[in-house]
Amino acid sequence: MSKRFLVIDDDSDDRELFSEALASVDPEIVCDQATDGAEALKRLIAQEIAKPDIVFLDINMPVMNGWQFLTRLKNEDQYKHIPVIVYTTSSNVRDRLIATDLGALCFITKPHAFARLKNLLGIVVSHVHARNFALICDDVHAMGDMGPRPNRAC
Amino acid sequence: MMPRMDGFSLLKAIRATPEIQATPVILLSARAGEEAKIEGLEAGADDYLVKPFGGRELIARVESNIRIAKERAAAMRDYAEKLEQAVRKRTQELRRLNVSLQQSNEDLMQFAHVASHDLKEPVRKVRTFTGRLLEEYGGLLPEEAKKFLRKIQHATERMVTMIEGVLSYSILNSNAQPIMQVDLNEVFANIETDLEVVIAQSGAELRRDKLPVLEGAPVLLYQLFYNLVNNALKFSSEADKPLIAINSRLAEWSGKRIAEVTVRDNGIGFDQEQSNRIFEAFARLNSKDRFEGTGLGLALCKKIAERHHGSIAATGVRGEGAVFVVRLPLSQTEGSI
Repeated sequence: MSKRFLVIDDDSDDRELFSEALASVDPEIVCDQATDGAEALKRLIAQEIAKPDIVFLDINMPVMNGWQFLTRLKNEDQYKHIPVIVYTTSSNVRDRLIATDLGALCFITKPHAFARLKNLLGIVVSHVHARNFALICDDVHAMGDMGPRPNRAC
Repeated sequence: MMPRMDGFSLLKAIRATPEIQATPVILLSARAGEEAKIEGLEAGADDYLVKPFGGRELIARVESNIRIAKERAAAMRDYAEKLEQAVRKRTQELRRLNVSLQQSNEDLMQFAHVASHDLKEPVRKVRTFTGRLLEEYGGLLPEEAKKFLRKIQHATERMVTMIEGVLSYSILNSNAQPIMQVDLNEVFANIETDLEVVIAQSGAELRRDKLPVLEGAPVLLYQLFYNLVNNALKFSSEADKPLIAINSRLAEWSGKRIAEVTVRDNGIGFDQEQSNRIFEAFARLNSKDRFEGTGLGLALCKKIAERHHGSIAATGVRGEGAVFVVRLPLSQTEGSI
């Protein structure tokens, strides 16, 4: 069965870049999109979009931001196991810590180069297919320049 | 005139004793005449009575002196109270001003933070799409057009660096950092890992002594030494391969045990007259065409050293290299800074 990604981002350019890069990596993958946390949650509950294999979540969004969405999602028994990657412009260590606290799988700063986005999604897609979610974060950060790394004091 | 202690000495002693100095004193003396009276009043007496004197006069003088003393004490109390009120009012004003100053300082930092954070997104997109133009449509563009695109890329890279600089500067100012034991050897090892590529590209050699463990905020200390090492790599001379020596010694500084960490390079250096200016925010000693940067790196280092109740100083010789000396107390008095 083909895998499903859900990208939640209020920025249409970023959603477009994301789905385009994802399609170039694996055209079989379904990429659902939502413009903020509230819309994503509503459509998930209404089953307008099927349960995703992984979520890419922006932080700064109107209506319901990434943190609020993540908190809600982790409180719902049927959704709390869905891995969420916080995917943001921020490269702030504090944001990374919040993401970890709220149960995000990984914190990734949006890359500037499209080629890097494709590489990053290549890593994620292969691990999603193999259901090796635990390896995603380490392998993505091994690319370098993907924002603050976890598990290091400084 | 009295045996053991005469009237004048007693008067002097009374006036010198705070608890009783306001007590009215009437000198009683057989010495008549203007001179004796003036001498007595000048010595601090309130009144002067020449013997022999009548009982009624004595009573009248005592009463009037007590009344005057009471009035004086009341006036003094009144004055002291007014003074206290004025001081209280001024203190309040100062406190209010201080709070509003702090507030506007925080607002300014918050503004810098928000502004630079919001700028990151559009700048990232400019980079992404110029990159895509070059990579995906580069073949269709004339050389001149590609040159222009590369100029856009270069300028946006500089913007990114500056935005990151302003962001880390404002974050540094706003967040209290918990104090913990920091092994400077580990800090430098992390820095070397993170600068691996630059170090390899420049052929730089880093020589590092065994460094101490001290109390501090790890994130901040990392940033401080990262900036120093990064500068040493960046401001290298074209002639020699960068050689960076990191040494330390323990010392005593204004009553505190400190670590003195020295970062020395063989780069382009700077004129010694500029040694204070280099720690100012947005100060640049070199043209930005040759050396990129935010103009905030060393300002940040200074802030971090001072937040740890330490200091940073620089000595340089143009064309020969720079030496940065960071002094950091081994222990901090508070749980966070």
